[in-house]
Amino acid sequence: MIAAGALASLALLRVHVLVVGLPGYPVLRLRAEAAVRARSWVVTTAPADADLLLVCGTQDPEVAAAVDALWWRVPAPRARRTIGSAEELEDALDSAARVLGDRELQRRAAEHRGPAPVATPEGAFGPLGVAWPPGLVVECATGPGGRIAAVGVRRIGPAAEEDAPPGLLAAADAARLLRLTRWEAPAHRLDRVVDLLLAGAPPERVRSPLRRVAALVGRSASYRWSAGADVPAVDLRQRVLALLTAAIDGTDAPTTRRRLIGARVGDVPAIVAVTEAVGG
Amino acid sequence: MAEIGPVVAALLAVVTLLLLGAAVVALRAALDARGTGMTSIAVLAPLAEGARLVRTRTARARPAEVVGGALLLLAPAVRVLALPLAGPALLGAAPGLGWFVVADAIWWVGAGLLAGRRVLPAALALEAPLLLALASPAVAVGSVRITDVAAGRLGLPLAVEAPVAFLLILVVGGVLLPWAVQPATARLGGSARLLAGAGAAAQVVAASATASLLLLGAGPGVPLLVAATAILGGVLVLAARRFPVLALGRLARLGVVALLPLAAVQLGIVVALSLLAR
Repeated sequence: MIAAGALASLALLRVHVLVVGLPGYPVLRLRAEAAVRARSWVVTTAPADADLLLVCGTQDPEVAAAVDALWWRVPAPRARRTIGSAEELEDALDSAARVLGDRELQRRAAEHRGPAPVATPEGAFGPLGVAWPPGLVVECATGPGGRIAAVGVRRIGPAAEEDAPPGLLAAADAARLLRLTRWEAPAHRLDRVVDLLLAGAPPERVRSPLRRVAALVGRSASYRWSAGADVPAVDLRQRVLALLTAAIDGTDAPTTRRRLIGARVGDVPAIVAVTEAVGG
Repeated sequence: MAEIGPVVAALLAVVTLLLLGAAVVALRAALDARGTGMTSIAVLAPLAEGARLVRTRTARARPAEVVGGALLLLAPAVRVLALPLAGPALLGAAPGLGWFVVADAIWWVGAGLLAGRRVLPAALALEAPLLLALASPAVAVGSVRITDVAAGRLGLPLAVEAPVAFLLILVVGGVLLPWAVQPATARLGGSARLLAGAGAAAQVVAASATASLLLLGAGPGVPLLVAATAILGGVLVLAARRFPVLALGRLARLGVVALLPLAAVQLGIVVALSLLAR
């Protein structure tokens, strides 16, 4: 009993949180990620590795089904919280920690897991995912050779988004794309920039670290070689550099579907990450 | 070590491997925290992560993933057990360099269970230069026995005449093998993730210990070997962060296009030096 308690206390030092930003709430999602980091907790991108599912924003029924599918994949012990504003964040994280530490509650919850969600058909992407623009749904029909022959693109949720400090979303998108291309160290440095901008730092304060990350990415031959091979005919490195330039200039980046025609279905997430603003 | 018995020596070697592996996890967590500008309890990261994953009850635990993770942890343990600290007494004879091939074969079977057949080209492309790199010190000392290679030649560490082999043993074993399983490990949870993560961290240590002992001559004293392993492991962790993790296809290409020719040239130089020395 004492050993189980000690185990739970240790585990709560480093809770892994899957932060799900709903359409229209990119800044709230970034604030949630900053709050997670501030507790020395970990922002994870894998549902199987999460302890806490933190949903940021209000749910459309179609998005709610996608959130439920993510929740089903989170293993016990687990907690789920939904917030509508940054003011609710700290209470949500505190109460989630209490739930995660309550062994009896977790045991009962594990016995009532619920049915598995309906599997997503092959070629369907969104409305939620890692480095995926929240609310974007892409449905691909494949032709001979498994190549995409037709694409349907639609958006769920509000067209308008929260106001964001200049350059914030571009810096956050660059961090996400760096992670998608498996380079964590500069992404951590961009997380720091995002946290500073969210805390109200002036743009001049973050230009220097942004320039250092841009210089590192720009001169890295291994990144050019590595990211250049991920998806044929898509330069992920150039996209990262464009996002960093936009962040340095304090602007946000432009956004397509033509690129998907003729591509492989497995490449859709990377192509969308290159051509669409993830919105933090 | 002679007076403590082979089983105890083997246990001590594995415990040291795991402790240094935990230090690798703590160092990475500390560097991540420093990057984000947060104060961190990174030193507790291995314990906290371990506790978290031990508590986790995955909804769809796949036996293949757990076995794959376990093999990833077994591989560096086999590597370390073959070293002269415990190997000769435990195995009844001085093991040969072939033990490292066995250890790597275990690693790639584990990687295959996690990532599928896609790992095969990378496995072949990385193991070929690694074999040539291991052959360089063997040719230099005229023996494939690990104890003979560790003793070196002419009192100089073999890294002096085979620096590329030294780097290849260190980087392929300590960086590229863990990279090959990193994306697959990132999708796991629970015990499979715990085992695979521990294996990837222990592999950094095992590769550092192998390079320290075989080519730096950091033996036979245990403290010197542990210190050299810790320093090389720390350097590997810091250096690896300066590069993106390569996808399996890129690892295979790197092995064939760059590492294999480098290893072949290195072996050729060592063979030439050995012939001249006769």
